[in-house]
Amino acid sequence: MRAAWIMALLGLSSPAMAGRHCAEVSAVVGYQRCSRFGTEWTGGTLSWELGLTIQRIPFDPIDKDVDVMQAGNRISYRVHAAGSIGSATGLRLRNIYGLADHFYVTSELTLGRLTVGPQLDISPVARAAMPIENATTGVLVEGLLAAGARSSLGVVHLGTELAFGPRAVLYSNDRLQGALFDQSGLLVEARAHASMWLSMHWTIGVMAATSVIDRHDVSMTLSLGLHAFPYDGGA
Amino acid sequence: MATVGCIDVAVSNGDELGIPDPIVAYAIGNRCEHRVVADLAAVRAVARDTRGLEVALAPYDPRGELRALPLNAKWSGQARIAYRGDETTVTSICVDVGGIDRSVAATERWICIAKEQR
Repeated sequence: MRAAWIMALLGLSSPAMAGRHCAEVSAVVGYQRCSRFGTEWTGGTLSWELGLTIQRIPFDPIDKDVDVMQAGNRISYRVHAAGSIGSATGLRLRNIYGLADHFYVTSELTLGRLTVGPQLDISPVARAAMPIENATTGVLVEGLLAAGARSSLGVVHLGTELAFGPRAVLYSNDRLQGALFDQSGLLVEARAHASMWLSMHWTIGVMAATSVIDRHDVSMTLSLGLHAFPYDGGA
Repeated sequence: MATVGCIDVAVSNGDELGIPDPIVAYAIGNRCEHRVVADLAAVRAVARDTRGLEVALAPYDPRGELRALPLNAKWSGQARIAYRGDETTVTSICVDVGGIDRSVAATERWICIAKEQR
């Protein structure tokens, strides 16, 4: 009953629980109309991970104009920065769906801030304004999907996965109210991770990732995992 | 109730109105931290009738569903199985659950339940 209740909550219900589609008449094997023997004894798994991620990010050169309204006037600034290597820290939330004993897919969202960003040179296009000091801050946003395989060695899980999705860095400057510009691109990462069971529902894990596009683009994530099913079913 | 390997198993009378066969309700739980294979199809059942005679029963399984299936770690499941083989009045049913955990050698573990007279 506990399994049925949780699976119903997770939308993993068996046909018997999809009441609109099939009305069950008996729970006895052979007399059941909708459900099948033993289908609730196992099934997909679901878990969530919240982690602290540290990333090293290569920045492309920046050379673009941004328009800002100042005292009723539209002023254009040219933003320029050479390509550089920066870094960011952030929080990453992962939703992990186990499709089979050793295969899973994830969706994840990362929000962070730049700890080391590109040196921005912000100068007015016309000479109607003063140059802006480099007090620019950057916010990191990533939304990725991943698929991977994992295996257990006792209390330790080891796995690899491939992740892809968009990443954007949004820049803002207190002196340029309302002006935001971004650098965005597609991120494709190869990852390796290990996690260890702390209890039947909790794990602690670490994940290392590197971009398959740029070897300078790497990250390390330390995370705490919550698992809906004890030991993810124990497969 | 019995424990066989990783599996706790409880057996009770599961008779249902409208179903003439005696029904055994099984509740199983995996006490281990790994998945196990639970084999309710391997359970042998014997009925005792009003004359005191024992008759072997077979599970009613018209769709061929009964088979050994995995049971998740620290998880529970249940099943209700109807048995046939004796047309006379059954006073009790005994089931041998000793082979329910496929990861351990099967040894006889009989559990008997009284059946209500209908």
